[in-house]
Amino acid sequence: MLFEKYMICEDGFGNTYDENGWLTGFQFKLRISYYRALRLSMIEDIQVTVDGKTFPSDKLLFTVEEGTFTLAQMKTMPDLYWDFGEPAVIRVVDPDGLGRGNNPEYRRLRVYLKFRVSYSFTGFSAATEKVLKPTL
Amino acid sequence: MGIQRGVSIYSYQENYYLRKMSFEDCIRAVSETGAKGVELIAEMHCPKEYRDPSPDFVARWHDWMAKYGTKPAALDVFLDYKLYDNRMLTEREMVAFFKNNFDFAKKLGFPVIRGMIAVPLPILRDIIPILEDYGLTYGTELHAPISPWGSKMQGIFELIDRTGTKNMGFIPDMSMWCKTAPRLVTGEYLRKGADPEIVERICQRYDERVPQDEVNAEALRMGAGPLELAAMHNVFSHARYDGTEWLREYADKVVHVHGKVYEMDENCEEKYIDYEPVVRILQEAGFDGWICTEYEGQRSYHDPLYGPGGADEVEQVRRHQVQLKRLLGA
Repeated sequence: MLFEKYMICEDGFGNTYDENGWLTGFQFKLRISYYRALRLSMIEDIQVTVDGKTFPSDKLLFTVEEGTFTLAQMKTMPDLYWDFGEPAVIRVVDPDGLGRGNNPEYRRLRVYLKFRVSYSFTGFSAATEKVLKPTL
Repeated sequence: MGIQRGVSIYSYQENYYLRKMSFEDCIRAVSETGAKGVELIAEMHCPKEYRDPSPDFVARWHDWMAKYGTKPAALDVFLDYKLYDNRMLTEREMVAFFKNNFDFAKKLGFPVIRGMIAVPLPILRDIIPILEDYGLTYGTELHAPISPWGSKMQGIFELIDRTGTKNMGFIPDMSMWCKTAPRLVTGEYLRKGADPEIVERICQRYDERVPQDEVNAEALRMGAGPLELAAMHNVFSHARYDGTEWLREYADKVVHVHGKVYEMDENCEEKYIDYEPVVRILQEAGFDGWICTEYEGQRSYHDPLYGPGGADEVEQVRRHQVQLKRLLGA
């Protein structure tokens, strides 16, 4: 329901490196599971799991056109939007990234997104997964 | 004047999400159906202009309206009172939030605002003088599975009668008149492995007007598990049918209509919804606002198991406008 199969983008998945070439983590691109742009303060949680390993939410950096923010920072931003259909770049800060050494060619990326909407008592949540090949 | 045909460009949401259609393309698609009205959810197509639209943006909107021969029909707003995770907005903040939305509506020329049922009644009371001052009409959407006789809707009808305001009413969504269960919305659960026999029995019982709790009990006796029950919940949250006559009592409070579409057939008839008598009742009551197509079937193909592709939004909307033109005679 609600764009589930389109949420995780096919491109932009892979390890990230700093200017010295050190592995800093990994990233992927995510679109919203809702029919309108979402104010950043209404995002409750994003959980990222790769091949069964879940990463702590406080290690996430979320990038939209307006800038890059942590989930905690976003709680204070009611006037900035994650645009409808906009691929947000989610970066997970982790010194091992998607894993060192021999990795399978395809990875199973699972994302759980939860947000708060006034007309829903339980909140809106979407769980989606895709088997992806890192292209970065 | 009579009832006029419009399209909510929400109907092209998948095309817009994937950027296969631009904002302008959506308006062009509306005009190509022959519809004259455009309904907008600002936060779908132009969130960054919503709070404080630039003069360029406003000018461009009016240029498009002239270019495509369309008029603004309704603006859909959401009172996001759960803006913050540790508090609700205060009454004053909620009213200010609405006023800001109304400023946007005025600049773009929308005569009608669509609000949602979750808006607290005291806030509806507070915005009446602002609506009267701005010359705007506000309608609360009545959408399946909400009951017209529940305390929420009755509270709103009572407020309108008590204040005598001409600037507030309600907006029925045609999901209120699903004569048959929208089987389209069970597809996702069938693809996940729900028992087709149990799911079809649930849909049949809906068609027979059996109340949900009885349908639920029977499904459990048949061996329904989480998937079949989820399919049942999806049917009952997307559809209602209490006959059509009840609308006559409230028809004078209708300010706009959401022409819900789940699935159009090849004869340009919506498969599940009882359009004909409802349109007739509205005409007999003298309603002369907009019926705006709101196509929502695309969602039913969004589960990963469906695979690529899905709805042809432009075609579904085109067919619905053919149906509306036939019913309205224009």
